[in-house]
Amino acid sequence: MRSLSSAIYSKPLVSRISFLAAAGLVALFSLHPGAQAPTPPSPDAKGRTLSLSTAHLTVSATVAPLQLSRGGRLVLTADVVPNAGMHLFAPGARYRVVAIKLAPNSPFKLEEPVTYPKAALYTFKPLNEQMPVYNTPFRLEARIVLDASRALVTPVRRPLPVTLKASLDYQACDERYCYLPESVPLRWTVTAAP
Amino acid sequence: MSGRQGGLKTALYILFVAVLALQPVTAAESFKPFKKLKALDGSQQSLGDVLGPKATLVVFFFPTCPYCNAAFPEVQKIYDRYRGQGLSMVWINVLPDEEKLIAPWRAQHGYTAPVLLGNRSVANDYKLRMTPTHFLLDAKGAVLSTHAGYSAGDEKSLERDIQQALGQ
Repeated sequence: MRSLSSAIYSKPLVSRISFLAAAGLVALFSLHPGAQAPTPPSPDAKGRTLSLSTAHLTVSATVAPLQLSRGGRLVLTADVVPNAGMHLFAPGARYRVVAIKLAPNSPFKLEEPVTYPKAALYTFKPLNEQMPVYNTPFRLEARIVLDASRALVTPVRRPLPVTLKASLDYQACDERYCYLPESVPLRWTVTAAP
Repeated sequence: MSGRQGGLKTALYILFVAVLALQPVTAAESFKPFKKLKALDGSQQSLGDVLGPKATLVVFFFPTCPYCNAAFPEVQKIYDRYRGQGLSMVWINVLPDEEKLIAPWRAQHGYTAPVLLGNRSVANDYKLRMTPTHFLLDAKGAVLSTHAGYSAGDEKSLERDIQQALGQ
């Protein structure tokens, strides 16, 4: 069996330099935050705001209140900051529009459609097509209630912790590329009155 | 403290060099064969089933991808021009929730290049970050060139690569 040092030095000098260059690039990319897959967000001290960054944007999402009274509602706000040069599609575009979605089989439901701010008009030059997009910071807001059809059944009449699972779904593009659609997971634990 | 940091740097450097030295030197990268994927006619096809006699263009896409919609009219023209000269082509959809859009989308635009139904796992296998992403393969499945995204005029360089692969 060859020793490690002989394995290294048996390589031609040009190959070793190529290796160094290639691995240096890999190391650089691995250190670049944009190269990372979305990481699970961690709640802040109050357990309300989740903040994370992807290769395309930064989102800070908040749910309030964390104690849900009987018949009450939660408000989920997502403050989204697209990275420089990036845009996300807004309602009215024929592409994948940025959205807040509740997880399938969630005990919650949207009380009304997610509210969107006014979008900018962007000209997609390759098709000479105008489309509404968000290319500056914007806020989405969702009003959420417990789904009565999925009522929580408990013999104990005390507040229950319930997990609210949602996601920020989007496709981001820049002047050259459209990136694969992403789904950023968001999760909170709220206390629901019996 | 600085001595410890220096030692750590040296250790990391040695590890770095060792890892580099163990990397294989590859002349031409092979295109990772995909598992059998469903075609629009319901048949199952592997990479071997779609490889052309001289060259194959594999394109990852989904129907609502803006740059795919900009590029594909040109890519279809290339398919029409070279399919009789040894070029094979396959478009692989990477978003299952858009499968139902594919048939009407092809009909609307007159696309005839064969389509296979992939998924996000297939996209991950090829480390795709954007669509469209093209891989031009030789007759044995080795990667001749890759290209991602689209700008007007990209089709010319793609066509040049194809002509070269076809020996023209």
